[in-house]
Amino acid sequence: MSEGRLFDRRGFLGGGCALCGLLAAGCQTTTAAGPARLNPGERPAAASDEASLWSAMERAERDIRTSAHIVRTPEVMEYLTGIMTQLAGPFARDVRLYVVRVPEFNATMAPNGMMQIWTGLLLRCSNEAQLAAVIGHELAHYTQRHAIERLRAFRSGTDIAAFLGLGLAVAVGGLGMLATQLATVGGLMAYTRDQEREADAVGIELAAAAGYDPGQGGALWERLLGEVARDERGDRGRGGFFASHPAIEERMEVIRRDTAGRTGETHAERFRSRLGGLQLALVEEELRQRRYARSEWLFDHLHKDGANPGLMLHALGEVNRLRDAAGDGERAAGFYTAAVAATGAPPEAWRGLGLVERRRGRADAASAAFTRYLALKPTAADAAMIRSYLS
Amino acid sequence: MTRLFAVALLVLLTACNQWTLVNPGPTNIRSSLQLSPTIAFNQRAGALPAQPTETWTLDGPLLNRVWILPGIPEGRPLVVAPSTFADPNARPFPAIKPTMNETEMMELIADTISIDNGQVALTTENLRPTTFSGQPGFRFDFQFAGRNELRYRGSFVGAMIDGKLFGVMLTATSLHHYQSLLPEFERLAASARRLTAAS
Ligand SMILES: [Zn+2]
Repeated sequence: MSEGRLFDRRGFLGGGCALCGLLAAGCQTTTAAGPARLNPGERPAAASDEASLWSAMERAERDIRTSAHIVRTPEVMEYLTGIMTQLAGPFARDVRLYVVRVPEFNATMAPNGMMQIWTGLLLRCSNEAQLAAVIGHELAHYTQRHAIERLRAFRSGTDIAAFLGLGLAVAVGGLGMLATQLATVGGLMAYTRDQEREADAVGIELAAAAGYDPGQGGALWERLLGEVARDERGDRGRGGFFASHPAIEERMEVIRRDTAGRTGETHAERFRSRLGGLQLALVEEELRQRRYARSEWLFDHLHKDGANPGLMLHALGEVNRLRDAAGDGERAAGFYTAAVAATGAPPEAWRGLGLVERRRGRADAASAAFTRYLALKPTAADAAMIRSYLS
Repeated sequence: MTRLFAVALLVLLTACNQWTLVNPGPTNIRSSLQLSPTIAFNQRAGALPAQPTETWTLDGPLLNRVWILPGIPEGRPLVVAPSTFADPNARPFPAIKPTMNETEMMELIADTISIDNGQVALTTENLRPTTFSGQPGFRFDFQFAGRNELRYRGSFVGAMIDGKLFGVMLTATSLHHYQSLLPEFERLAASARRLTAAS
């Protein structure tokens, strides 16, 4: 076990923190290079640089609270907040979780305890343990005060001003930022490699302590790398995880090593059932991006992971129907047919089947599928048009 | 958010401050579509020649706009020059296919708007048959929140005619602005006439 080595850059010392206490056994005592980690309930000293960083974040958070891009479904938020609360332990009252509608893989933690998880990340988790790994990682950025450490690493006042300005921008970045600004910010705001390693290590221990399989985080990164490699645009997506989390391959190696042979719960079933109806919205957000090869690879892997067979088969049907290249219509029909035979397919799978059958000139099959769709979803957004196809 | 919004506004104003007047009466768009507004609009001037659409506005494109599709041919996307809200890497935008049905044209338009506005979640409503330039067409309504936190409502009316997508789309902030412009938009859509080489 290499916890000691991972943490020896800076010990997790200090009084009675359960969060770090569980790690302390493996930690060697070394000279603290950065600011001491936060205590539960601790706020920065008045008039400090950290206090001004916090107040900038608090202003941003006020805007985020009223943003149109926040997921507010009470059951979903109660469930996700519960996961965070359990992982955060004594820090639970210092952190707040916001789920932001951006169809990319990312999560952020502001120095004042405002955590953001993008919907694209939720889509990509096949179970609760994978989400717990991410939340644990982000919690560590907070408790270890990585943002202020980073701020103090800047030499000039201009740099610090830029950092504060960009910090605010990053805090709301997923919500309102111009893409061009986001690109600039990614570099400046990125945590250091050591900070990321530390967050990974703390995240693993938090997840394990809560009973999760700690290796699930590594599985999540691994699939993300596979997916991004298939992005036909040849880039890594708008302000996505890679902008703020460098050297992922290297970190993945360490994660894999540190979690080898360890086991725990994944809570895949609970994850699917508690996210409920949000999951179709997550799939639709991804489909809207029209990055067919990448989405197809992702849905295929989520399907192989056992996540929502009906929904993932429907998603694969949708990718093929929308791309409509040679052979896609036939493939789409196959996926839709499999989807409606599996559990968890949305009514939209019948619509998809009807549309591809109609396109293939199979009028009877199309009518049967459309009839089924309208019976299941009579108030659908396109019901009037679909009805006109039937007459 | 206010600060970011100001930045966004500034960028938009700098990039798009060239407007010319469109007077009431029949107006030809790219010599392929004729519209007859009953009030004067501002038309974005000096649009990229590659951009296949036109934009009209009364009070500025952030507040209200009429987007005009004067017959986009097969293989072409609706947006060539993405907005400042769009991911610069989100290209190419989805393109027209002659095999598309009305649902898929709605999806193409909605996804284009979504991507161009920074991957926003967009809700489409009430897709239904209608006529456009005397041809069987389709119509739908939609709403979304911009990354600038403004809430938008809109409607699209159009048709695929000889493999080309024609249409007009209204987008406005808030129900009030949408509803106040809707009658003129309905007149505009009803006035649409596809121009052929002979006419
Ligand atoms: Zn991190």
